[in-house]
Amino acid sequence: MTSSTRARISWRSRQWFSLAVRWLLAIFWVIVAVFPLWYTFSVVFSPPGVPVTRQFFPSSFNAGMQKVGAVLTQTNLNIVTASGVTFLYAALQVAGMVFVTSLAAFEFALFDFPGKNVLFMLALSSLMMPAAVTLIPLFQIAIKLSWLNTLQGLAVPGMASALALFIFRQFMEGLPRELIDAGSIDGASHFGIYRRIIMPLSGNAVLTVAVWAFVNAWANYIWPLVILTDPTMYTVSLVAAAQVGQRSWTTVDFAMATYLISAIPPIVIYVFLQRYIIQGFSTTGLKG
Amino acid sequence: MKRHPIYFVLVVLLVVSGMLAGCGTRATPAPQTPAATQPDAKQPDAAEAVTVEFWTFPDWGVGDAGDLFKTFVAEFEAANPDIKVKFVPKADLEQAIIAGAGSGVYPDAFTVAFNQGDTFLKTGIVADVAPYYNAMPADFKKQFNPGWMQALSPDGRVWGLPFTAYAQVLYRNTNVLRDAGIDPAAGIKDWEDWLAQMAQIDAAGYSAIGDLTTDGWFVMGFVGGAGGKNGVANGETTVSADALTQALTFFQQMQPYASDIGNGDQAAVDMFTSDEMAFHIMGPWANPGFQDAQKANPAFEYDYVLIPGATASQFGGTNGGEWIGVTQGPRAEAAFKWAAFLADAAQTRRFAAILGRTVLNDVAMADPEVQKNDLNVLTAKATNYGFADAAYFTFWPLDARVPFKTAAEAVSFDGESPAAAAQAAIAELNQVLAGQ
Amino acid sequence: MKNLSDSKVALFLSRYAKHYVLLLPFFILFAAFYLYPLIYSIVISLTKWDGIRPPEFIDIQNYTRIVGTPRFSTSMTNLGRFVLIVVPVGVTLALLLALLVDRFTPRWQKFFRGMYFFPVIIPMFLSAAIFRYLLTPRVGMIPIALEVLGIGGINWLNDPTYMVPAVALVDMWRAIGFNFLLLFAGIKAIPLEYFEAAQVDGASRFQQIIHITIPQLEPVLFLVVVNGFIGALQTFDIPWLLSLSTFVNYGGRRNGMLFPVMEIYISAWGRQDFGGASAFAVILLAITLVITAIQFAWRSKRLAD
Repeated sequence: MTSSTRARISWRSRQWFSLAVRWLLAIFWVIVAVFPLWYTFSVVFSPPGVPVTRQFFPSSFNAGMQKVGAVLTQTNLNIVTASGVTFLYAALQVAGMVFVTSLAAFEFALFDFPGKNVLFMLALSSLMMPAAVTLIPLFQIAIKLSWLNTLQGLAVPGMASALALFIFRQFMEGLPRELIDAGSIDGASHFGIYRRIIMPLSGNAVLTVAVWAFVNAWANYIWPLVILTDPTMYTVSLVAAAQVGQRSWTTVDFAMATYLISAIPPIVIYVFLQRYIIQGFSTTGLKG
Repeated sequence: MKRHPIYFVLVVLLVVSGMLAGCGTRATPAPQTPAATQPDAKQPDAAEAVTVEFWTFPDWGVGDAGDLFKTFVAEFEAANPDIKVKFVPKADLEQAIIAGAGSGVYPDAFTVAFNQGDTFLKTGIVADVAPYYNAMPADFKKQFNPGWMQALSPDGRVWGLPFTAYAQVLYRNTNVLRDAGIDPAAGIKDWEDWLAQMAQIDAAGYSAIGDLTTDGWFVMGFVGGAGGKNGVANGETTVSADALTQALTFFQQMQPYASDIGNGDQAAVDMFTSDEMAFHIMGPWANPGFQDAQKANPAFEYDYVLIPGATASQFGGTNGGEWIGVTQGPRAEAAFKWAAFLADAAQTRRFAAILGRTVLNDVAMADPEVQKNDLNVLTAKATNYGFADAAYFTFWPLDARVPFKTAAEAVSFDGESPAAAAQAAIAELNQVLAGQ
Repeated sequence: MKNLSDSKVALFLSRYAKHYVLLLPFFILFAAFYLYPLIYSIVISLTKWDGIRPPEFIDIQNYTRIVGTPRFSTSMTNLGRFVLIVVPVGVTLALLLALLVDRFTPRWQKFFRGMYFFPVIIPMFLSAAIFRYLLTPRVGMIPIALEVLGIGGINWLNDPTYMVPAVALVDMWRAIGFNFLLLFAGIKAIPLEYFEAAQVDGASRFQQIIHITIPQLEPVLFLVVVNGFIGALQTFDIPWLLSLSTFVNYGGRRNGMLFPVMEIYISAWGRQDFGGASAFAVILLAITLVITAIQFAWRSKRLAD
């Protein structure tokens, strides 16, 4: 065997080895990431009354379907109707948030103006105060606006998200400045640059923010709790929590069935958004 | 390039939400403002329908309980054509009421735990229903459990009507007991007997019970088992150091046989249903889970008894209750009518019979249908013993249970002497009650 | 003189007005729904308030009172340990994961991208409950796995030494999912030409990562680190759920899972001490602002060089 053959073979086996390791690590993290969902699924799709902490595999399709059916056909506080309301409010909040924060991030990322850093730190400070203390004043404002039990009451207060602003800003910072100069030479208005140049290139940022914001809105509990006193407007998080009170007589597996079902729409939305948004934005010249 | 799709989506959503917003604001009644602000709009007319907004625990809004309440509302509205009831199951309703009280957003009637009574009175929105209550016929007033009714009527005022109650009971895995050489039918006489049984169970290779030091709610029950009674006088706790010391001594002696898995953990429940653990302390809401476990594994056998106390005539367990209250304002009278309807035996009897909950209505509990449910009967009996989960209608902050937990931890893991730990706990509790 | 100042204003406006205009939608909403409550809370921190009756001014008594309490020091210590674990490890692992996934074909990348986001999608209530089962001493999967590796006897849920690491474990599980999403999107946004040019120049994969990917990723990395700190300092739901906390029993054994925002939440809603809660929140806010400002300043300096 020549030394070059040996080198080629060892290079090959190193390639295989590195490929195997890559796959091993990647799949390992898939298992870690998805395990709790899989586990919940196993508990739901097992007969009621089996030891919950020991169900790692589903053992009864029928039992699971029965529980799922029971959750979906609740006559009081139904999760399906709640999903409709929640979807509307989440979509509204996401749309508003993406628009408002990307617009502001456009300014922060690509231009200079007096007070820029102060304003940005001010915006970030909103992330540093827990909802526990800001809840009452926020609630007072919402009441003054007559937003009790309304969709806008649910959606608007969370729209000016500093985190979304931060995400957009950092992504936009990475865009080449020549594009802006080219745009203004071509006579584009300031807003036009935002709309026709920067936004089309921000597909990845929009996807990230939209997905995260949707999931957040879906899971939001404390704000819908205080702003909704009409059970027909309850969001999914409120309906799910109703099943699982502290001294609730609901059994664990049924509670998990409720939470499992409440988690389905965000997953579906994520898959849908991933495809739709990436397609809607031009990504020529970029890796995506 | 094609039109930006996001603008289209945004416009559609804004239009839709605008439409819904219109629907939303029309469908809900105007926020309940205290009478002072809009007197003329709120005066109930004899011919006009008054809407009583009723907030209650969320799990009463689902399943069988939800159906039962629907029936109640329908029956009440039929009997009182000028009153409509809006049934709102609401989680964390104490917090929601506090958040909304300042802005006038709170219900006309509500159910709340006894241990939150003082907090609620401090909001200033609870109505003193003594005038309405005193006007009720004697038969009505006699049906309520006297002790709990007493707690609701300090110094001539009546804050509401007692509704439901809970108590901890002791669940026993009879297979494990038999395996360890204990005859379940013999019961448990007192703490000495119980410790002996735990030793036997441990010797047979089983876990006796889960870790009870994880929550003051468990520890308090044992203080009750030693004769301690919860209460506050002159801003200090009336719990006797002696009862506390006895309970802590028991904890110290129990420690070798207790598992390191918390009694409140799902893992402990699973050990219990898998014939690995002998005892489990919990309220009656754990029973549906055990019934399911029996269906899944018919070999699993269990029973429930009162939690043993220090002596044969004493019993332990923490207990608590819920009451129906009414807020001040023009709808208070209508709201009281609804409260009285709910608390009446005709309704609470069904609540107890169909849902198996303990109600604080002696007439309802005496009903033969209700008496058939032995867990319910046991729980009702248990509320006469043990330790209340708070000192009712006096300043008892929610973390007033913490000194009990700290003391139990100290004697179980740090080798602290029960007497010293008891003293420390009482001092800590008095500090908490003083508002520090 | 009037003409000069007029034209100064006019000049200022003509230069900057368009920027402020586009900032307006965000800041109007921000002012109403974040700024007003923020200022309100800062004011409340100087009062004694139960949420319902009128607040009464008591100066900085809230601050001096709570700083001395054991709960304050315990929660801050727990927080410190937590942040020091979660931010470095959470960011590094997420970055390595993003670089790893970048090696796969686009179809597999989509698959992994979908899977890795699950920790963020799953309701926290569920994941915390399940992690609690997994961490149960002796019978949970994690102690069992550790036992196999020879590390036994760790009580993640009830031993104060390990309770903060337990919280960190669960938090990193979720944070890595989120950070991965950001970092991976950042990697995808790097223009292909840079890599093609480097390949032509004969750079190895590793060199490409060091000299192209990471520098290009700097803005997003900065985001992930800064947000990592801010988020970690505000941690509440994981320790709350993992310790089965309720208003009446929280923080776990010896307050091993007590965190500042948890204590703030209980002060406000469990004890109706909004003044004390706000004071604690303001202290936390100040600390977070300082840490964030330092990071921004350091970055400006670095970028200017």
